[in-house]
Amino acid sequence: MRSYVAVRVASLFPILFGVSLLVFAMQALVPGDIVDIMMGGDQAFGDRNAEARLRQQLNLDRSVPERYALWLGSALRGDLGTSFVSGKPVLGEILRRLPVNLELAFLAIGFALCLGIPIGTLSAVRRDTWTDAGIRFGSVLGYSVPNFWLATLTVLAGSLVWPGMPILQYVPFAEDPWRNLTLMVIPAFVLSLTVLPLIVRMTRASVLENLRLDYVRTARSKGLPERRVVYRHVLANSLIAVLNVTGVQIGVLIGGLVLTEEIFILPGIGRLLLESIQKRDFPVITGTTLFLATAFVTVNLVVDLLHGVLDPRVRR
Amino acid sequence: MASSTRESVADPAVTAALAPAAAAPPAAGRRRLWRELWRRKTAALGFGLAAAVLLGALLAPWLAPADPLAMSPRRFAAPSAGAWLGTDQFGRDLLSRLLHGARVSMVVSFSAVGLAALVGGSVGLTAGYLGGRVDLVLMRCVDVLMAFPTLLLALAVVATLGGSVGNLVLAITLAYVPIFSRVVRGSVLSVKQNEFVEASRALGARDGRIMLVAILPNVLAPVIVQATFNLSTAIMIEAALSFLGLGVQPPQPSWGGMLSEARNFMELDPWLAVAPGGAITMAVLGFNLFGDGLRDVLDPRLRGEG
Repeated sequence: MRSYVAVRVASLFPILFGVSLLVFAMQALVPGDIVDIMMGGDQAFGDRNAEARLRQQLNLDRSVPERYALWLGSALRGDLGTSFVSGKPVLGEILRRLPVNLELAFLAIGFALCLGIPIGTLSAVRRDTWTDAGIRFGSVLGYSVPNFWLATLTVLAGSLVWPGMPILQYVPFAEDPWRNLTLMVIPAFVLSLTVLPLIVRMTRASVLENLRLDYVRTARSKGLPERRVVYRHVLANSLIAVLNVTGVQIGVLIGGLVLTEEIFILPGIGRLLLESIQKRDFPVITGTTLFLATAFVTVNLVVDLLHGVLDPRVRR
Repeated sequence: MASSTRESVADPAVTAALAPAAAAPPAAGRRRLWRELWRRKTAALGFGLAAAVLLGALLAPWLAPADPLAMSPRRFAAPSAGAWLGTDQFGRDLLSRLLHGARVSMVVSFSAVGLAALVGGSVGLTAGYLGGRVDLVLMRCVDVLMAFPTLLLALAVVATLGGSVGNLVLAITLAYVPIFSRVVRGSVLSVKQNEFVEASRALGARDGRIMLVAILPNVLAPVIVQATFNLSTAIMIEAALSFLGLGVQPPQPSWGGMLSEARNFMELDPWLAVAPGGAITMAVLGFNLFGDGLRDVLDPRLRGEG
């Protein structure tokens, strides 16, 4: 087990190195001069001295490999640069908004698992009935509906059905936990619909696969009630596959967060990224991208490791 | 030349092994495929939806009753004989805008998925066939691209290069190249174990020829299935980026852009927000259902999975 963990953790480094190269390349590939963009592209009124100072500050007078080394060095020390717009450190801005994302993500995954596993199991146990057909069609429909449309319609429905409903607000958890939760439940539920259909499908497939295995026959021939066979034996073994698909879905969730935050006006990292894109605030764009990609890779690693703990076969 | 060599091989085992590459007459196989698909109700429904969207996109200039950019004083008009779906905040015909939006959506998703299949497929084919260090390096690069959630990678590309239809295609392509590389590499690894690959090597075929003639036709099925699913997600990403104002720029009609504009007026005219989302759902659902059917028929090993 220990060597499995070591190998998996070590495999993270080349990937993160590649991620950093790619994110740095984004900065280098920006069409036009970054200083011009910062100075508002106003050459006529541009102050030559200020411009030169800025160039030096951004290390633009150095070669590209040198700039990469300097950038990576500070990134590793937790310095992702400072925002062109607010002048604040990028990492601080990200960490300040992180709780919003974590809360949304955990609530959404919680909803998806609490609903998806029972629905998927039901679909498998009632295989080839109308219930099963309905659930299967519903799940295809579910991941064909654009989540940002559902979110928009939710906001619309809220304002039509209950004018003045305080849906587009954010109250920090620390300030008023109950109000915070009541405001976050709706966006999180809508967001959970991005991953729910796949969890349903995966649970169904996995339960069906396990129902065919020998241990199920053994359990049944021991005279265990069907209920106990399904819930105690089959479901427990099926959850490993569900865990895996949940890990993969974190990527979908991160993309979904950007849109959810935009529509429900929540001050998370996704909105930070969108605002920085609109203002062409490159340190924030690259910092946020690097942060989200690193988070995604790390979560996937954790899921892999958990998988190794739960299923000794993958450790080989 | 090559065909005469093949015919001259008398050993029935070798000819039989060579068969999969040149499987049953393609026309008959294709007819069987369509029949199988038609029998599956949901696949047929998917095909119908996808075909309707494609036809709408293709024939938009002729089908659209009005110029999608032409403004008129009849703002927020209800559906009528002149404008079947009514008009938007500038008095533009909604149906015409939806049809032209389909055009953008289809052009972007088909070009992006096609390019990604081509590039990713070549990477996967090369990596899987050659193996060794080439495989290691190529797959490390693929891992790096996979480290970005799809929408984030697309956002990053568009944020760097600016929002335009060309950059949208590039962004979605980049996000899908790793997926195709992995799918193709995986299939190549299993196909290359077959005896007919060995046989064509024994017959003196070069690597390039083996890859293209013996292996490629046998890995096409999973690529087609993957491409169908990716078309549906590409439609979604295009719509999402245009919704965020980073894709197709107004006044050019796009489903995502129309939905985004409608947000400002939706309490006044909810229909403006409902219609473009319905169009996206219809297109995505079509390709998803069709893809499910295709996967069941083309790749029976995966049947019932996922």
